Amino acid sequence: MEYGLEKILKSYTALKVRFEFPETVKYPNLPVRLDFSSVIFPRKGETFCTGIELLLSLRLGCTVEIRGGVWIPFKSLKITSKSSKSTQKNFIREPLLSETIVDLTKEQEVEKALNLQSSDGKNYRILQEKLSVGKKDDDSTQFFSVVEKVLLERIKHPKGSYMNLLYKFIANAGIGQMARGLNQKTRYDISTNSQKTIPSGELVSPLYAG
Amino acid sequence: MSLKSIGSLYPNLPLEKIEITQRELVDMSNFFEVDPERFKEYALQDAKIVLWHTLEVQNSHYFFSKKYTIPVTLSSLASSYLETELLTEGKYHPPTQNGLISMRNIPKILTPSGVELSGDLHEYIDYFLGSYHGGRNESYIYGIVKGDFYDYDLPGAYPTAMAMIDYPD
Repeated sequence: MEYGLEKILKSYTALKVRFEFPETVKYPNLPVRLDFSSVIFPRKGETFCTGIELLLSLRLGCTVEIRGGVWIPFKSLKITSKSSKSTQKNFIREPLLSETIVDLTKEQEVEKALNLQSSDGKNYRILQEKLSVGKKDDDSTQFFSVVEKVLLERIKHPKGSYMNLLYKFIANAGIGQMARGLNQKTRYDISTNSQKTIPSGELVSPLYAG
Repeated sequence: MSLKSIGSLYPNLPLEKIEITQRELVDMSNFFEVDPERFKEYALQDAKIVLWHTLEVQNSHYFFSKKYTIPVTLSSLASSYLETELLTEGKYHPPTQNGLISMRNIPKILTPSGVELSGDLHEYIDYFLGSYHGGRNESYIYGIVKGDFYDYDLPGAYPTAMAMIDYPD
């Protein structure tokens, strides 16, 4: 199976890769952990990354060797190939992406795959535009309605006011909640005067967090 | 957030922080000695800002989460509301495996029972955990900067990303 742009962008993809960026790339994008608290972005190395990070690295001209990985499609991804989704939910054990590098590096293909083009085909369709029209796409995702509700409430309050700020925090809180507790970090607990491990919340999921 | 910024969240109320000089700021004892009335006015205004904001936060915590307590941070209030909204409205179903292993119990997956009971989860969870690096925060310039520099911000980046997340199939 080929893993083209749409299949990468509309999926949870996580990979272990060996990589090397050309010397001309000033700011490589693949993170590598040095120890428990330091992350660097070297020109060459081995790391875990998401499919989206891989796309960017390929567009920067990076050479990538995939050591292993997993691909889980979004529910909304419509697969047209013969095999069913369930049989495609396998480990990637071969460098399947090497065949699709050309497609993955084309910006217009990214826009197309994400359905980001507006009706005139020129500009990115942003969330605010969707909200002003008051219409959702048929394939809108599970969190869309919640984000929409929060952002619509936010604009009812003057910019700079307490409620406007609070709704902004609410809109921003979701992503943080999906990663909460993953790193087993500790924080000071005023009630016991000690450091306590940050617990995971109900929304935590390493798939969403990455 | 500074007290001045907090006061400015309520533009229709007389909660503007009183400005004092840098000298008064660094030597409060002297400020009190020299001008006790102004010192009192300054201190009371600060207390009013704190009191009003505390009550607002408490009220909004009740409004959003039906808890009449003061949350430690606004972010925790926001998280609490979002969790309630998503879970009670049935808009979100936390992923589980066989109804036995939830994402909240990731350490349990790497146990003898966890490996056996978690289906394929134990085989791929490490790829996703390894791929989570948090946000990149880096300064490309150090020291005193002469000339123009630019600070780029992505408005609504987090909620936009969240709106695009879909259920895994």
